Amino acid sequence: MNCDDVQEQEIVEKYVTGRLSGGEAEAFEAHYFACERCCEELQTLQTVQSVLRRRTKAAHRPLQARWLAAAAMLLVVLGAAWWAHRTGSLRQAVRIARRESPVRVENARDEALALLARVDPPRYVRSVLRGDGQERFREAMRQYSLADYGAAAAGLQAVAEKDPQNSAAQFYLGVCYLMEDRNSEAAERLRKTVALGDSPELGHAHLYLAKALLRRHDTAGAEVELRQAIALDGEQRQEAQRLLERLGAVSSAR
Amino acid sequence: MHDEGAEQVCGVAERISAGDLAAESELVHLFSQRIFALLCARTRDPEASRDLLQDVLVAVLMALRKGQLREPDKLPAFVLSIARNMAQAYLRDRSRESHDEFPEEGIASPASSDPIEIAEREALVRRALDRLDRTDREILLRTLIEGEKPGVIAEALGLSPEMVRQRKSRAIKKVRDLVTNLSQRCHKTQRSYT
Repeated sequence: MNCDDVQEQEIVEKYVTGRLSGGEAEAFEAHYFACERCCEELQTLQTVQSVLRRRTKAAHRPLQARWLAAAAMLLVVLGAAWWAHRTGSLRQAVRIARRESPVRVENARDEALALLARVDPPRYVRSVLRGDGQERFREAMRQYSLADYGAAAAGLQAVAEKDPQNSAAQFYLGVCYLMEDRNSEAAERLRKTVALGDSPELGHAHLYLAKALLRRHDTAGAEVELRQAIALDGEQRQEAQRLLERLGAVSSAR
Repeated sequence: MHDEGAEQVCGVAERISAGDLAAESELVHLFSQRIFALLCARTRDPEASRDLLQDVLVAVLMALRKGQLREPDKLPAFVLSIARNMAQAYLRDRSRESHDEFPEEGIASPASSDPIEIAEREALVRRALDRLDRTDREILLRTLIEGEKPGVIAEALGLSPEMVRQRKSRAIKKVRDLVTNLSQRCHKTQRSYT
């Protein structure tokens, strides 16, 4: 067996789904043990299989688990309401419950846009970088994970200055600015992330840039970014789609 | 593992039999992922594969230390046969205990036994999958998880079987290319920090 056989006969796919005969499986194993390319392909396909399986399991999570999640959310809301009752500040309580970023509101339309521009910071998955030389980035992201966006922004700014091509630093710096209500700076950083082209952060950069623009009442610009986020068809697609529909409704109600 | 790789493998086997401990680490590095992929494919149980990997490596190293491999250039085939035997033995034991519940497939990612590498590879694959067209994702899901053939998928999605085959091949290629590109970008970023 050689690499061409593997490609033409879809051997890797058949191997991971258990559709090869004993002899074929042994032949493929003997091949990939000596072939870097086919070994890499096997590992990728096994990971794809694993990720898809986990997603399927999550989608079919038992109803009981979903009820538990709903009950937990109810407890958080009740806690927030109790706190609001104690302090007389419902808006503040809701903000704490949702950990939302501050948005200035002046009239009804602004309020609607502010709702659309509300930001839940994306969870940082510490899987992209490793090594000893990027401690500063790690430390900044540790602050980010602790919701200390001011400290995280300071660290990320230093990283982004040293390495302007670092899409992760530019993106999370933009998010930190959003969380701090520094919307012009946020838009600038998110634009830089987009300008870097294809990166793991690209889809979300369009989405959060749209939110930054909404906060600056630039609905046309936000629409453009949302359409870009949708076109990329990543995990941000659904949220961008929903946001675009609501933005359309707000705009037509003018 | 072609050309200079084959020479390296040869050298590793000889050095291990001569008592070189560094060569043992090299062997682990060279073969762990390959063995693990095989064990996962054969046992369909990543958790058990993690344990079996250790058993395979220990068995290989013990044999090499004792000089049981007469032709060093046959090291890959030697490792392969031990890995297969261990997988078979595990499956035999499991079938004897077949009253026990069958392990849940694929909870852990089977591509590697290194947790950091698993997390990295999974993150890259997730991103790559998210960039696929929804129909392509559906085709991959039905092929790799449900085990459906192109004809069945075609009927469910209102496409021709040939179209399903083409889209599936393109989707797999796209994921592979995206993973490679993203991985290179990540490593480039890592290098810029070091």
